[in-house]
Amino acid sequence: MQTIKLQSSDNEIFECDLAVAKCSATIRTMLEDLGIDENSEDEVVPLPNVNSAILRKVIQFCTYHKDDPVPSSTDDDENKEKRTDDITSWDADFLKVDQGTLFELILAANYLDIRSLLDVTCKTVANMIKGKTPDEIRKTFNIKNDFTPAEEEQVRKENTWCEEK
Amino acid sequence: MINQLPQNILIEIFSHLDANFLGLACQVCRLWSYVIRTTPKIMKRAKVKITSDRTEDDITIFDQVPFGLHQNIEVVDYCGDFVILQQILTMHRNYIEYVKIVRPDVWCAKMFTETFSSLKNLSRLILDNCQLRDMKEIKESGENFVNLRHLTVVDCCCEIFDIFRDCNLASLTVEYSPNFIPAEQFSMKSLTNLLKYSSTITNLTVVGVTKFPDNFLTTKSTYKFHLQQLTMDDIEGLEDSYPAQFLESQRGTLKKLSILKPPESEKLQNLINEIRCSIDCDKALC
Repeated sequence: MQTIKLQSSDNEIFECDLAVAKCSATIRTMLEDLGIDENSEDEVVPLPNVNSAILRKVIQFCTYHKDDPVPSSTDDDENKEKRTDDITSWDADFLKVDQGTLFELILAANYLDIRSLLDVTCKTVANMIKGKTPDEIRKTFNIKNDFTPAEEEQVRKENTWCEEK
Repeated sequence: MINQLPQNILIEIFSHLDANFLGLACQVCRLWSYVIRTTPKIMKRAKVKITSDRTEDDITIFDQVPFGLHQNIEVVDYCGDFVILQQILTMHRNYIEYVKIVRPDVWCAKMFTETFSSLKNLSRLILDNCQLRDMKEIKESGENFVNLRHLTVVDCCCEIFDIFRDCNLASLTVEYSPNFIPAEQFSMKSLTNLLKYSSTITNLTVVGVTKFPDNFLTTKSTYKFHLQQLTMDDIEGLEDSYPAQFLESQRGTLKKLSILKPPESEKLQNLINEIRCSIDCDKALC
């Protein structure tokens, strides 16, 4: 098994399976375009935007999913039905983390360009929004209501159509 | 903190929400309201659900739906006044591209046809558990659903295909669940007719039809279409040698062939394998 060394922002070195690392399109590009030598023993890929705790989780995710079929991007993505109830139990368990970690995972998935991780983390956040009133959503995510009372009334009026009855 | 995420990620998150939830999310804070309103992609994708709870008061409310462009409508368990539904749809008739109807009340076929045909840009329609009455009234209806390209019919009354006979469908999916018993005698004549008239279908899926009518998918001369994709569960439900003949007639254009239940006839299985093989060869050549 061929391995590769990844360096987190806090300078921890992770040695992982090359196939696992290549789940990240960003790392793939680094290896292919920037000519980082896959075979070199000492070559280390620096990932300055990901700390060690998050990188460990990301590697865990990619190791579990490394044999998943690559979703074909040729399917007309615009028309594909977006679902949020199809998160597998392994993924759901994996994402039982505090909000801070969840958001850091999203940022890491975005930076490393790991589509499947970005998808499932964003779905998880979408599920936290679903079925809640605006006030409950604010509480969940600790968001400040920055509308003026007049604005709030206006925006509420515009959206009465969507209130659950 | 969620609002410190880059906007492209917020967009990603919001695009997993239905329109109804987006309307609520809009009210959370200025940033969310701004991102949702200014990203057409989010609303374009979101579905608006219409259920029976809608009353006449809601018609005016629907008129104020922000963003304007409601393209995806789902009508679920609607047993309310058809006139209200009609008014809501008419209001957005220039925008709606996708409609899914699930378990409605038994609607009058004429009313159904007139209302949904008036959606000029409707290209994708899913009918799930729809029963229509007074089908005779629309038999000679002529041009309905002119822009409809993709039709999916799940557990509906068998005659429903009459309505779509003159459409230029590109894909047709017909599904019946094993324990579904249509109200009238199980005759798929209406489906056979639709297929006979169509020259545009390239993608056909027929699953769960237990008894095929006599002339269903038989000889070459009967059909004008050239399939690129064919999915069936049990091809041997068709009369003996006919499926082979039908497959032969379509093999020139087929790019994908899925027969879910392997046929008992060895000859037929060989033909299927042969066609699959030549499809793979073509792919490899490309």
